[in-house]
Amino acid sequence: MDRLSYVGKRLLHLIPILLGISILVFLLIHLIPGDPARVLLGPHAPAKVVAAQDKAWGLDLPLPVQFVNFLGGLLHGNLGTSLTYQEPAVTLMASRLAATLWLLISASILTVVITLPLAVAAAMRPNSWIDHAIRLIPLVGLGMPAFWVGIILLLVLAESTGWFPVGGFGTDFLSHLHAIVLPALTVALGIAPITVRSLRAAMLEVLQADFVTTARAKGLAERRVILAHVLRNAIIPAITVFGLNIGWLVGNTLVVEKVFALPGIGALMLDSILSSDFPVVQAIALVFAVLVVVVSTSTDILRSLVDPRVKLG
Amino acid sequence: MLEIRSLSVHIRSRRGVVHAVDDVSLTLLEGEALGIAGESGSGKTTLLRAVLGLLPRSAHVVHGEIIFEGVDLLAVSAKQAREVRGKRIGMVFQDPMTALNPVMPVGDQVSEGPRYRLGQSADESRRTAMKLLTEIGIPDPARRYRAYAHQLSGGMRQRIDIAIALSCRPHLLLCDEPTTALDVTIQDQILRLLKRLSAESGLGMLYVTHDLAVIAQTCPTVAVMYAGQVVERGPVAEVFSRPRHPYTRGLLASVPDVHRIGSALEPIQGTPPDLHSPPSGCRFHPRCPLAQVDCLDGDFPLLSTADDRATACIHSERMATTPLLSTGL
Amino acid sequence: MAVAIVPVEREVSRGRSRPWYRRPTLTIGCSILFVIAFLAIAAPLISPYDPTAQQLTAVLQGPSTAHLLGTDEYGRDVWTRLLYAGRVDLAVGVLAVVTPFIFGTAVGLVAGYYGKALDVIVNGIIDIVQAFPFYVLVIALVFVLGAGIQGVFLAVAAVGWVSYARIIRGGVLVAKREEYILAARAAGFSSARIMFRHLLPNVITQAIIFAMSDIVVVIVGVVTLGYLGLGVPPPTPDWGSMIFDGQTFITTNWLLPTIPGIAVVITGLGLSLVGDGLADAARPE
Repeated sequence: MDRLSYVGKRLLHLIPILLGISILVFLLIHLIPGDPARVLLGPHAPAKVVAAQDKAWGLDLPLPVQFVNFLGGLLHGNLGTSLTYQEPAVTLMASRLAATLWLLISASILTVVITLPLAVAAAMRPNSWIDHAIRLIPLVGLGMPAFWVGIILLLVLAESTGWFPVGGFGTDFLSHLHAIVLPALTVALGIAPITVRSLRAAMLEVLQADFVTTARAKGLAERRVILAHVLRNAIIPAITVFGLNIGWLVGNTLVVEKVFALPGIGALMLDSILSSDFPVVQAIALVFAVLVVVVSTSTDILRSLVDPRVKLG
Repeated sequence: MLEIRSLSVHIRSRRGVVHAVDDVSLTLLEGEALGIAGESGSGKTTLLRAVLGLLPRSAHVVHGEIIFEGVDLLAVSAKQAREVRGKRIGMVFQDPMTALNPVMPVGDQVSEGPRYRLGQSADESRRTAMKLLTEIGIPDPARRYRAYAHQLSGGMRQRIDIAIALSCRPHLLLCDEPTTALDVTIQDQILRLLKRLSAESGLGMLYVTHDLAVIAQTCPTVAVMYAGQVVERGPVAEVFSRPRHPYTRGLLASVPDVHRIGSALEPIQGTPPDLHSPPSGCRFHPRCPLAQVDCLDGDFPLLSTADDRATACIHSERMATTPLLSTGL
Repeated sequence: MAVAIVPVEREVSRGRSRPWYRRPTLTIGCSILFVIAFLAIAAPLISPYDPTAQQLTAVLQGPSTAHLLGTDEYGRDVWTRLLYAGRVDLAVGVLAVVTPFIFGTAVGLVAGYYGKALDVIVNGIIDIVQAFPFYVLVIALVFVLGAGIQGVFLAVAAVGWVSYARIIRGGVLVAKREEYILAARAAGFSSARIMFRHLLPNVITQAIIFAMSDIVVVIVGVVTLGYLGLGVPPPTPDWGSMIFDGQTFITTNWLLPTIPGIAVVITGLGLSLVGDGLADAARPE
């Protein structure tokens, strides 16, 4: 099979997953114990309003009909209407998109920046003190709640020193950049334990390979051996691990946006939960899941491009 | 061009220290091809790695000198040792599949040496590599240049591996069983190639293998290793026809020979020793049909004789009269 | 769960097989967990204070002999609240791992063993649930199920079981083709016997090792939900809500939000060490 049809096949595989995601999100409202509109609008809402809301959601219709309506809405870009703002959830999300994209992209970059040198340093001198120190990171790091790391960073790098803003997103490119450093660092520190550990393990395995000896037998500088031969092979499993954990990274942005008062989609979701704005919560859960599936499919495709051996089956 | 003087290499393992190479001395003249024969575990690969300065982390040289073109490779800095690798000493590995980087086009692996060691430009190094690929008999080199290791046949991979070893025009080629993983017909092609290269360019060659027939085909001189030591050395024809060490004789007798169909093979009795604690005296004595009380203790250095041969056996004169399978003690 | 793959590191050289108590990671990890468990269980014996009793005359005090870690904005003893919070978070965390562990293992075993349509459905559910970021799905579920201990437990368990189902199913698919399973089938053993006596012991190790890193993630998750106000309702202490409350006083009393976080980190370290040690011991040498 050639690469193009492999890509096509991966994309085709997306369809049942996306359908499944929409089913799960659709079913969320039916998990609410009791009458959803009553629960969400509160005990003081007039009965008429509650009944009208149930009707607006079509909850009186048979389940399959409801789902078809829901799916039809999705295909038209209608992800429901906010109870709080009386605005389409899509519009609300769009207004919050910038901050979340900034955070996701800069956190991904920072993850790479943190992971590469640490994993390389550890793998090049296995069992040295630097290796032992770096191997402690996953053990400690996995147990650190992202929001708490954010608070500590705020305390040290914002409150005490004033180097970074305490929260918010700024108004122009430079102030965005300034404001995103700490949140992005927090998210990156949340996932780095996983990526450092997997890249180190992958590099140690590659270092044992015969072709590394071939490279050294050419008399190449150790730097060239590591970068061109070891890292290039070790990066493949690391990409896979990153793709599998992209959900972890996205999930952490939710909490981190809250800590740093970033006007992003994650913070919107948490705010909507506090105001019982169900349609917005539902829409955001859907969008995040789709985002994760798309990213992990992309990493799969990327891996097939980086690794000539990948079985395109 | 290469002189190894009483080299000893130890390898740390879970169970202690392995005396992988023990007091080995060898000389290789300019442009000469020397075969090193021995069973697996006899220390021949470790010896090659030591010459290249690429011993595994667990191994280290405890004693000896490796003098190559007038310089002791063990005494120079890591940087100077690296300078020798590739440019003056090349190495061909046993398994060409694993010896090639799976995610780098093979052509780039050939041009890497010229590019980063000889300071050629990207274009120049590419041309050098193309020329090498043609030289070593790769058909359609332009297409093969872009190929990955897994897309090539075993013989083709080994040719690439040889091209890599030769890419910086070394003076000495170390071959670590380069044909063991190949079919017999391909093996023959590769051996002819190596022989041609060595004859054409005056390349010195250290050829390690367990296959005596291969050595007979490629090298005029042979050194036989057993348990980390060289036990016999001499011109191939002489050593193979009139061995002076019982181990050499046992090795020869255990080779299947199409001209002797029907005659039983005569494997050497017993198993190779555990090199964590090698036997005292002559290391071969527990398996040796000639062994006597005086084989149990003392040193057994390789003693040269006037006819350009050497053996470590003190009972070599009895070789002709003792049957192979009788146990001495 | 969300941390789908934490590859187990392979070491180049390793000593001979040692008994478990000689493995430093296991020993240190177990000691940490033992101390934490003891502190949580014996909280009423260790501290003379009531974790919810307010003392408005002694608010926001620094550490002293009376209050080891000081007091919070209601004058409650921080050390006491830390201990009682540990009881809540650890209990919910353990329960929210053990339940999905059992359920997911059973589902994975049955789906992998019988295959066919059942397996396709289970595999589909696994794929879909794992498509969601852990926090996104858990938070959405807590929202619809209602905040509080029960909601948190149900939400985490509803998301968590799929990881175990996936691990066990994968193992069963491989083990099913092994000779000893074919032999057991040929001998006419019942399916239940083959699944539980022959397959399960061979595939459970990976799930147990995963559970050790999963429990760290789950406890952090429970604490995070507490921080977001979706966990245990006040005034019952929980590490997450303690951090949230303390955050207000970060400039004046930085210990308030820091201390509970350190408790989480130490707990996580103990669990990770034990997990590493177990993975180590399970690996064939």
